[in-house]
Amino acid sequence: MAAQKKDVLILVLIATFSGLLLSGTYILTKKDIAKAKIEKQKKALKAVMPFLGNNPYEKIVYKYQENTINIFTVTENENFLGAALELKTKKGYSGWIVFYLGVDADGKVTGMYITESKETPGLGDKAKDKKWWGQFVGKSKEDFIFKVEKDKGDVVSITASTITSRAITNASDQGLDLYKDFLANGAKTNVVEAQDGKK
Amino acid sequence: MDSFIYLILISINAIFVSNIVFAQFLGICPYMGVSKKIDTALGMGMAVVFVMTLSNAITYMIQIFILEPYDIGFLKTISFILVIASLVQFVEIFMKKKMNVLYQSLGIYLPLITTNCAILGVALLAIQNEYNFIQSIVFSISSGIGFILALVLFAGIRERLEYAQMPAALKGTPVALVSAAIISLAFMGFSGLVKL
Amino acid sequence: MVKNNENDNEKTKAKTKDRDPLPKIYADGLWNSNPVLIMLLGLCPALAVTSSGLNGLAMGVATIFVLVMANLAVSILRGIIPAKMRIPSFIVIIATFVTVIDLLMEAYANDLHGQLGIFIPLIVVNCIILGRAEAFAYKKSVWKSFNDGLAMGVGFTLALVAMGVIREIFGNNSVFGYNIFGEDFNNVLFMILPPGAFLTLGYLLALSHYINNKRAERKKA
Repeated sequence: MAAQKKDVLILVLIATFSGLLLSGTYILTKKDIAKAKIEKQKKALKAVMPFLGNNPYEKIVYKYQENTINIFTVTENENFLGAALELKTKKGYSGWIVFYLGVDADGKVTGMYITESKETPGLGDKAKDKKWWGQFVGKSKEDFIFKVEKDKGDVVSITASTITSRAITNASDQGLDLYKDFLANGAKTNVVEAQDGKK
Repeated sequence: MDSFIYLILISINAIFVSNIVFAQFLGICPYMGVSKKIDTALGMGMAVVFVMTLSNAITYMIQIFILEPYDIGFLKTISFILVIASLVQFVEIFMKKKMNVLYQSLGIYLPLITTNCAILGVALLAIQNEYNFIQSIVFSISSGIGFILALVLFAGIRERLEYAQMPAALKGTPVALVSAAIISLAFMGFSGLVKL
Repeated sequence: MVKNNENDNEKTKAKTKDRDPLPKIYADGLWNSNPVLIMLLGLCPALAVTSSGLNGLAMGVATIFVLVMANLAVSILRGIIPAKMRIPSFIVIIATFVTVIDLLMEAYANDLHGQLGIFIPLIVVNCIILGRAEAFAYKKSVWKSFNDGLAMGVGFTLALVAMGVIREIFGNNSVFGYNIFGEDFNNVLFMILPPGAFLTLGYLLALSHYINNKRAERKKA
């Protein structure tokens, strides 16, 4: 019995030691992990919002119908310049696609930046190329149908990657509807949580 | 009705479109070792489905009730693998007592289920895909079925390959992998089958 | 109980010659018992993350870290880890180091961390690590275990980089991101997709079999 007790004690000791090592590492890396996430986000925001410049941006969590999304608004001297919408879709070929869609104050798309995607390299992965998403730039829902050609829209799909193209296009379409609602509500209401993000 | 259809879509996706062996590369190790005979392959497959589903249920609850609320997500890997290891122990003890024949034929491969990337992989994927509990269970059972499908398909081919003529360098695992490449290619034909 | 074991160890050490000189450890890890090519362990990551040379290298380095640290820990603790509890102990130790490297990568190599995805936590079920802990580190000295971990890890990395580079050259027209054949090369997309992974590994294994067979023939002659 003593031997068994000793065995269990040793296992507990090992577990305790590993617990300490893990917690220690976690505490040490917590800040840097958060920093890395913010850097990644900043990179995306800069890429999709050419009007960002040195202006501060504000993260607004906006609720529309049953969805909440993050909208990053940019103002310069009290003028609303535009925003970046953080959009997610699960309808890609494989897993989640997370991307940012930049829009100006008139609802025209200013850029797209995909931060997370596990789409097929060489096929759906080409969505990251400006050659593909460039077709969205300068367009708004008034003059452009945000659906793929197969769905009677104006968006040219990536060759052999209708699924990825459709997923991103539809997510953008919904995002733009939400943005319209956001603008109509004075670009401020329905705020769930506001968080300042300065450069 | 909508969510029920979604469940069916999840299972078709897990078995064919994103088959865990041919598309996600999980569960290859035992695959190469066990799949030489169809009956052992089936027995192994069943054990895997059982462990996979049960462990998925438990790890899901750990994630929802312990890891997330207390923000200790970094303990995910260690807690999940310990759950799986313990489950395999229990299954082993149970099989030894009640299903001794199968236990003997599986031999060393039973404890090896612990290190089967498929089990931990599916547990992690279920969380990553943000499924709810029922969807998670359906996902793991279907992934397990996909695994059995892959294993049995393979066992059949390997039994035949034993008698085929080929250069010495290719005999054994190399040609098995080349066959896997062809099957994987065939499975790619399922893409687009399911609009999740 | 522990004292008796120590006496026995001393006696056996005095009798047998050093069966694991460093050169042998490295020859084994890098080629003769290469974890991927000969022992057929760690195939899951070998197939999954080798769509580019850089990803293969990153995975290899992460695995080296876990292998070396786990071997060290198991070897240092081998006197007190009871035989009956050794597998759970190994698992706890390995999982700890896997989580450490996971956190480190998330903080300092975020892009690679995203590329490797769930295969970082899956290092814990990489049969190589558990295998070496059981077969080597639990029985041998700290210094030897450290080297064995390093040797096996480097062998693993070499195999992964080889696969990654081959697949990347044909599938993406690049090596570690650098373009090779110019703009007009028709990428063989197949190579960076799942079937290509199986095929590349299959032929890499065949190549290593061929080389070893030739060496065996030459030795006989």
